[in-house]
Amino acid sequence: MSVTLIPAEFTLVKFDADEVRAIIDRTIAEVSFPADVDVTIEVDEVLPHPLTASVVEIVDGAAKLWFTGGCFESPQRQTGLSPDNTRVELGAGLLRAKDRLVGGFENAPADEELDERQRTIWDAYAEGRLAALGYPVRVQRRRYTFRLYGGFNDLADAEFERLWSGASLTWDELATMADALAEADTRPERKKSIRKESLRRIAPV
Amino acid sequence: MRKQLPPDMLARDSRFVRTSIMDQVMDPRNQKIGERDLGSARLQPERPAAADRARNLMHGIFTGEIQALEGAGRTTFDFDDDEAPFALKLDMARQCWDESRHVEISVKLGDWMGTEIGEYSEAVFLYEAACAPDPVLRLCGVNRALEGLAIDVFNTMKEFGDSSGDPVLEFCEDWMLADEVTHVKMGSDWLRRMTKDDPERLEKALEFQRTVDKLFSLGGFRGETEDNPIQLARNFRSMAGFSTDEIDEIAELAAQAKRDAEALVAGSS
Repeated sequence: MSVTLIPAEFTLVKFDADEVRAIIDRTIAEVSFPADVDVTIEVDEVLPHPLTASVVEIVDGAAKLWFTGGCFESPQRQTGLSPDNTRVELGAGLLRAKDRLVGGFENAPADEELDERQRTIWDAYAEGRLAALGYPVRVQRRRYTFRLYGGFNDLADAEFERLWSGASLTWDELATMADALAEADTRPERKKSIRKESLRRIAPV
Repeated sequence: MRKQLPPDMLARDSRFVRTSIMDQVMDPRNQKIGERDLGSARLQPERPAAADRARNLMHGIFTGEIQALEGAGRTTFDFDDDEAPFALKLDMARQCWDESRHVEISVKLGDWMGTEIGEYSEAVFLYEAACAPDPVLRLCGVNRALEGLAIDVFNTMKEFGDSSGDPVLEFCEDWMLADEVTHVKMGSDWLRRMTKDDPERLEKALEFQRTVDKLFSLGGFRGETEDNPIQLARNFRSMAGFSTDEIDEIAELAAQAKRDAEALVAGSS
């Protein structure tokens, strides 16, 4: 397996690339990422916290993960690294890549084709597993995001608890859950947020 | 107890981390971000990273409420009765009660949204505006500029709660917004009463407010375009007693603050 960090050194933020690489190596081991899959982690250091966004894709059998710099940045120290946030964001991204490779999500659409509700369910599923591994995830932060895109209602809360307490999921089950949440969501359509923009699309290639 | 407490003596526990406006203005990423078309900067659920942006703003509101409490609290104590009428201090004491309630509400909203106390850094420029030695300047700095900014921020958050269908957020922000309108009106009333025979003092105070309002526009954070996360709440400002001319002036100051920040970043690169 090869692991590549892009950029090799950070120039706009005060991230120590060696420290980030060490966190990547540790996280790959902790989430039991397939040992024969190459991994590329690209960080767009221009985009600061709180602009958090990530994209996971499998290209020719290799995992390519893209993150805004804000995913790894400390909210307390501008341009500084947050090792805890980095672990969680990397862990969630690697778990979703693993899902796409061997975890029942082989037939899932590309990240940028997911609607916000589907993506939110998948993120909660990933962070729930990280919580079980002892990662410093914050359940209420994830619950709020889940409600924002899944609905402020009892069904959304129940589905979130199910995901967080270790339920296993496939893409087909996730899609069914997303449909059920959409059905139960009584908010006017304009409040059922479907994200139109992608931060990655405006980032330079 | 000491009068005129400087910002670096504010009481904070180890959870809080201090930052400065200059850290934000001089961030080397600012110019690069400016070169990209990120679309609207308004805080709306359909925009990228809306949840984390809302949580960040909510923590800013929380620390802002602490500083508003400290600012109003200092005014009840820093001046003798011949410098500031006792009735003014009573109003400031009532405002302290409102602000402390807002702090509690903000903590609970932080819990609701999954934000921890001290998770984000704190800038104390709000309190700095409350350190003027003249109580009339304090009224302009705190009640009209700071609380005016609070109207804009609460209205933005209330609209976010409404458009995302979050009943808790919308309800809480609406109630706090109502208090802020009262605080601004209280400041405007006292400003008129205390300067009715002293136009020079009034002009000095309004000039101070212009300076603070420009500072509070934070290089484009507040304004009336799609580039501004916080929108100027004309309707609520009008209810609080701002004239249309005054609101227009704040809008222009905000636009000017954005141009100044862009020039500063361009000059430093």
